[in-house]
Amino acid sequence: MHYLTRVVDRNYNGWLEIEKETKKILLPYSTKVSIIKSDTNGEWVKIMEGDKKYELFKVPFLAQSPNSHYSFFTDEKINFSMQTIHINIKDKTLNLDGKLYDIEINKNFNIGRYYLKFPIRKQDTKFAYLDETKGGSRFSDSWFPLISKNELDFSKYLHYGTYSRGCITVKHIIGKKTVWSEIFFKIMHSRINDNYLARVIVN
Amino acid sequence: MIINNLNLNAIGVILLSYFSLRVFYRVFQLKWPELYFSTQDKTALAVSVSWKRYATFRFLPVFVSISLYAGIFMKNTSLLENIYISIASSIFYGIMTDGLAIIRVLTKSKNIKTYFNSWHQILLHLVTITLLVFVGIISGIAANTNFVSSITPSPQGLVDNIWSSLIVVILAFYFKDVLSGEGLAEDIIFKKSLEGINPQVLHAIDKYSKEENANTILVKAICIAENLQRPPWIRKVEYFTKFMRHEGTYGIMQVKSKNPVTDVESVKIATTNYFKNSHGIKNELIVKSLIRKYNDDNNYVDIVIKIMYFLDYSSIENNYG
Repeated sequence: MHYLTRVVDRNYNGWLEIEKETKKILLPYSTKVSIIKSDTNGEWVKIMEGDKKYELFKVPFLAQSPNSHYSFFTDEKINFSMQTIHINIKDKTLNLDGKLYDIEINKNFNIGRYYLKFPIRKQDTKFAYLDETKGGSRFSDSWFPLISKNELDFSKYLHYGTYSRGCITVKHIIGKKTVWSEIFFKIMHSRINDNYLARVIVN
Repeated sequence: MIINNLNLNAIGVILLSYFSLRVFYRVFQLKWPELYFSTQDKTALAVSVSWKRYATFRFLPVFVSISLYAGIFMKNTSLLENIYISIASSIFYGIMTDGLAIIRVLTKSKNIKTYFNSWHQILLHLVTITLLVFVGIISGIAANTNFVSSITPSPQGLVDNIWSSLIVVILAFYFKDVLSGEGLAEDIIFKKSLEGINPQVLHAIDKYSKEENANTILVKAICIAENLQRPPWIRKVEYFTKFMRHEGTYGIMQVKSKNPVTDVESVKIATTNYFKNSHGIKNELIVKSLIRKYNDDNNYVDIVIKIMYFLDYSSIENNYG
C-alpha cells in the first residue's frame, strides 16, 4: 500500500491534480492508493478510499529522468488515529487532541454527531487565507464536508476563514501564526473508515 | 597635432567605455558567482541559469560600449588603430575589474569569500581577461564599419546627449531599487530549482537521511539552495577544471573533495558529515547553526530557512516563512 505524501510543499498545497480523459481529479494528501504498475510516463494507481475508491488513474511522476523517477506516493505507513472533534457552540471552540481552537459557528447549528469526509478543494479561496506570512495556511483551500446521518444537508463544512454561514469556521487571525495547518494534518492523519476521516460532536 | 588628437581620442575611448561599463554594472550590482545571491536579486537569478546568459551579460555590454565609443572618437582612423585602441580599452577594463578581483582573492579580501578554492576563482578571472582581449578585437572591427559610424554621434553630439543619458542612469538606479525590492516570487524560484534536481538525487536524499538519522527537509533544502546558487552548468565547469586544482567543491551539494564526486555521492558525503542525527530538530536557532556549519553566508542561511518552510510548514518552529 502507498500513500500520497509528497504534496505538502507550497507547490501543491496538499493536493495532487490528475487529468483523466477530459476532466481533472483532485486527490488530497494522505490518500491511500495501490500502485498497479509503472511505465515511462507515470504510474497506474488504484484509489483505495474516499469518493474515488477503486477507480484507476495514471499519475505522472513528481520527477523523472531517462534512468530514474520519483513518485508522489511513498510506502511509509501513516499511523492513522481515530480523532473525535468536540465543538462547543456557546464557547465557540473546537477541541482536537486536547487543544482548543477559536471558531465561528452559528448559535442555531444543530447539535449532535457528524462525520468529516475527505476534503474538497475550494477554488476561490481568498489569497489572505493562503498567505502564511500573515496568519494564513497553504491548506486553507481544503474544506471538510460535515455529514450527519440525521440530516440531508450537504452544505456544511469545517474550514478556515473569517465568517460562518452555516459552517464551522476556524478563525483566521491576521498576524497570528495559523492553526489551520496543524488541524489539517491531525484530521488528514485520522480515519474512521474508507469514507470518513473523523467524528465531530457538536454540543 | 594628428598624433596628439589620436592620443586624446584613444584616452577618451578607454576611459569613457570603462566608466560607462562601471555605471552599467553598478546598476545591476551582480556579485554572483563570487558571492551567493538572495532571492531578491533578479539579475543574478536570470544570469546564473546558463553559461550563455552569463557570457552574454558579461561580454556583450563590453563589446557594445567599446564599439560605440570607438565609433564616436575614432571615426577617421584606420582599422588597425581601431583594433589597438579597442584592445587597450578591453584590457584596461579587465585589469580594473577582474585584475582587482584577483588581487582581492590573493589578499583574502572579505568581498570575495564564497569559493572554496581560490585558484579556481583566479583562473575564472584570467579566462575572462583573455576573452576580453578577443572582445576588444571584435569591437575594433565593428567600430570601423560604416554601420557603427553611421549610428554614433560626433564628440560634440555625445556631449549634448550626456545630459539626457545622466537622467536615464538616475532613473535606472531608481527603478532597479524598486524592482529589486519586489523581487521574483520565491516559491517560483524554489520550485524551478526543485524541478531541476535529478530523481536519483531525491532518492539519495531520502535514503541517506534515513541511514544517518538526518533531517530530510533540511538536507533537501540545502540541495535546492545549492542547485540554485551553483546550477548544473557551473558544476560542469568545476568538474572540467579539476586538473587545475588539487582540491575543490563538487556535486550538487558542493562538498569538498580531492577528486570529483557525483551529485548522489555528494548527497551521501554532506548528509554524513554535516547532518547526521539532525532528525527531529526544529528549533530555528539550532537549525541555523547546522546550516552555518555547512555555509555561514547570511544570504545562504536565509534562503535555506525559507526553502525548508516552503517544503514543510512544520519543519521549523517559531517561523511562518
